[in-house]
Amino acid sequence: MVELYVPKIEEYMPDKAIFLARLRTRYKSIVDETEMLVRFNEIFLQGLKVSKPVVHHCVRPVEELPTALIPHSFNGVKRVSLFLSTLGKDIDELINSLLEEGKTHDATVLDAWASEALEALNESFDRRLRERFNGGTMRFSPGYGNVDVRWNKYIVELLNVEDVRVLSSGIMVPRKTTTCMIGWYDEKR
Amino acid sequence: MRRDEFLKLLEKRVLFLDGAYGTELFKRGFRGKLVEALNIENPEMVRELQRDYTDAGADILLTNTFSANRVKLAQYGIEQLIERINAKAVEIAKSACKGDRLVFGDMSSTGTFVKPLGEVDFERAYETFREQAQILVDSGVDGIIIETMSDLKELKAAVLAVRDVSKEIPLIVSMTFEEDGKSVTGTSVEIFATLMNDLDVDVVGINCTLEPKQMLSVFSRLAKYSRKPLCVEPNAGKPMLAGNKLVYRTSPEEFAIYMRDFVELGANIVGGCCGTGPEHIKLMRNYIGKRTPVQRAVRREQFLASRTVLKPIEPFLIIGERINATGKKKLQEEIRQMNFSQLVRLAQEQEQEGCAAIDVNLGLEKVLSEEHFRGVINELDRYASLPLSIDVQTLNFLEVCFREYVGRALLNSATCDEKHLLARIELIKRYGGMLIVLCMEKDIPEHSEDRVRLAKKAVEILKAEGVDLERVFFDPLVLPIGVKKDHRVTVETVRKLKELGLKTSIGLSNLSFGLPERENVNAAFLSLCMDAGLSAAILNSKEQTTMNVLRGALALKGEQLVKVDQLEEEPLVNYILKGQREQIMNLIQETLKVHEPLHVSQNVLAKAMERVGQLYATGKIYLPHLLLAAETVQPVFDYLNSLIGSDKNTLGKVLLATVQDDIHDIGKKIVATVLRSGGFEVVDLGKNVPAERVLEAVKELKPDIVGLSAMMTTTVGYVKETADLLRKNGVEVFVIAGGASMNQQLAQQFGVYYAKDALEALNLCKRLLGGEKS
Repeated sequence: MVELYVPKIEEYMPDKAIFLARLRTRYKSIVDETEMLVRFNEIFLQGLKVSKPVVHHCVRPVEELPTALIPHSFNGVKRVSLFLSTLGKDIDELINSLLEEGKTHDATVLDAWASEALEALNESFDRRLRERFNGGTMRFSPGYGNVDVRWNKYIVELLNVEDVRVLSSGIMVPRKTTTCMIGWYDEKR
Repeated sequence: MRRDEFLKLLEKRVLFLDGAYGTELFKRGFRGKLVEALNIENPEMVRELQRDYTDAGADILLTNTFSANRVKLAQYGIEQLIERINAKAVEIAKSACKGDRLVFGDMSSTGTFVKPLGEVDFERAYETFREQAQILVDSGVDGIIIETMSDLKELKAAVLAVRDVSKEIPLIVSMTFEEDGKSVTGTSVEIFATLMNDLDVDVVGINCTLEPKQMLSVFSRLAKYSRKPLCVEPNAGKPMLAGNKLVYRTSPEEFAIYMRDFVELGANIVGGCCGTGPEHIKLMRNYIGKRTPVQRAVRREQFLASRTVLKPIEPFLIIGERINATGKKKLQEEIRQMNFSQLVRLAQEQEQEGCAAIDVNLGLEKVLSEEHFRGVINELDRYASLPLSIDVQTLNFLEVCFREYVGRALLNSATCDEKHLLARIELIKRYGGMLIVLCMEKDIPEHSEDRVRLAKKAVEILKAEGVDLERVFFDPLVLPIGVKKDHRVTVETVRKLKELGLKTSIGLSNLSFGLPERENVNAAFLSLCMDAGLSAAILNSKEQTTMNVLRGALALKGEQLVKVDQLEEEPLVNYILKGQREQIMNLIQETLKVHEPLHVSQNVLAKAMERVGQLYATGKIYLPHLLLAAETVQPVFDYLNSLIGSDKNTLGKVLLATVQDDIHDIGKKIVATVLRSGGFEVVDLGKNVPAERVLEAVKELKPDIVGLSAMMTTTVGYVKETADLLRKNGVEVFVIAGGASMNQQLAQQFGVYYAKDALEALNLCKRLLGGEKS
């Protein structure tokens, strides 16, 4: 059964230090530049306003999944949680419109923010799953290790996510979307 | 909780304070006048809010006692309940606490300024705070917070009071600042930090007035100057009217994002003020999480400060010597008669001449009383700007001065005699400040080695007492030449003390006492001492040669004095700013010889006041200066009006009132003072004025403008009620509203004009009536 989870706001608010690090900016070094901070914060708030984050997720016995989808590091797992997190299409559109207006700075900052917001969402959902299933593998996404990024399509279809399109390259649209897997051993390790 | 335990906890992680009480309780349906009364009338309502704050993750709950001091309670006629209200508040907060959460007793202003800005004696303020602190401590609070203070002197009274109740109770102090980093009384956040570095407080903070975005830069300045852990509690924006309810526009997520910035800037404790609720605290806590406080880089320089002026002591501290009544019979007599006008003039002159501090020596002390010293300190606080070097010999008079002084003064001086030194160390530890130590005990050693030996002895005493040597100047002693004294001993002592890493200060003019051409001798000697490493001098800044040599000597070292920011204004404006009414009258009398009184009033005096207003608006002068100016010119306006012989010189009539259920008066009185000095006739209906009474007065007095003041978010609705009532009755009058809880948007929603401060009110009144009349 596929479930839908709508996160609380704090679950996808990225830490400022991390979001700024993605912009190659050291939080500590700019913290005195209050005008800059205010500008970053306004973009942060804009990001929160337009994001419509959801997580589609399910758990499947490992044998029901294609072997090529299972990373080597999942050796010994009994079940696998698969989830797709997305911030929705509006944030993509906002980034694009900012770029079209020539507001490259704001678009770049918002893009970095969105990437880290999605990562924050994945982290908090990861924690939520672990509370439910206990001992599991590290979180894994197609495109890393031995799993081709084009397996994204399979996961999107498995989770019946209608609002996410997968290009032949494996890239997902909206762009601020990721798929993840965590393997569960179903035993104490 | 013990102070050391609290400080250890602050090193470990960022702590979360709760949010607002007043605005939140109103949001939850409270419709009374004083939320503190709920502690005994409806304790469950308070407990429920505190439970919500606990559930939201607040580490520190404040007691619902913000206004529960005797002065404030008396304004509601319930001062006899002070003990019950405070004790019950502690009991409620403790019952709402979970686990290791802390309860801090909340204290704030008496709602009035302390003399000389207001009418309340320092000692009365002290006793008021002491009484409340005693009840809170006896009731078992884990700590005390003194917050939302805008008068540094009142804050100082509160700090001393709390510390006299308990040396062991953790103490947080927090002032409220405007966006430019200055309190309404003109104290900058740097001055606040500098004084609190000395006082026996544990945490220093900023709260209220500003929303997080506006508070960032002010807090950043505090973080650079404060050596103490930091606390911050912004408002959730300015209140807006949504339907019939006041709402605050800063959402929990916006609040949380900005609070993260405060943590990065070095905050150790973060919480919320007006408009914040449990939802703000919860999201902030979840977002910031468990975090070790950031290590800050703090400025290590030393500063002297008055209420409004901060002066670095580097690269060289010039202390003006001319307030010295020793051997000046006339000046001594004036002081004895409590006439301090000459002292004020001397202080102002020395400021213009480039001094950074003013030495105050009242001469023969045995003919004076505590009142003389208190009077001098207050008078100089009121009319002069520079920090003081308090050159007083009698210990209890010295204490009176340090207790009364607003800022970080220089104590001049202690000897190396242990008892003498310890008594003065005690004073700077209790009241803050820097110290001059004379390199002598009972007698002055003849040789440099012996003076240095005594200095070393003093260093050991200072270290044992925990006094940072950066706070101390050593005076190598200057003796008059011509009595077989060798000035080279002084120079040599300066050099040796410098080698020991100690700061030095001399009384320069002692050298040339009784000599002709003193200026040349002083200047030459200063040059020698500066070459040996002298850090400060008490000197006659009127001596051009001395001042030029000083600048030259610094230039040779590759340094220069921090440029003195002097106001260059036309004479009348200068006289007004300095409170020199006699000079103003003289000038006005001269002008009256060639112009009509009406012309003088409108085109001379009023124009000068306009300039004063501009200086205030551009941050060149502060509220105390503006008030002083307004008070100074008022009798001159009255005089001119008496010559004009009718009311045709009045720009218009303004009726002022603080709205129903609001008892805050200061802001409105400031507006009244400024409006009067600007040429308006003002009728003040007082505070807690119901809408019907305003209507009645408007019908009777027929003012051109009604000015309404509302300080509390809980009373701001009465502005609308009053304006609506006037409109309903067909009264045609301009209505202007102001006060801490008002803002432009609210004013628009209420259908009234808005004035942010007294000056804006004055300009608005002129605009409205000018427009109407034209």
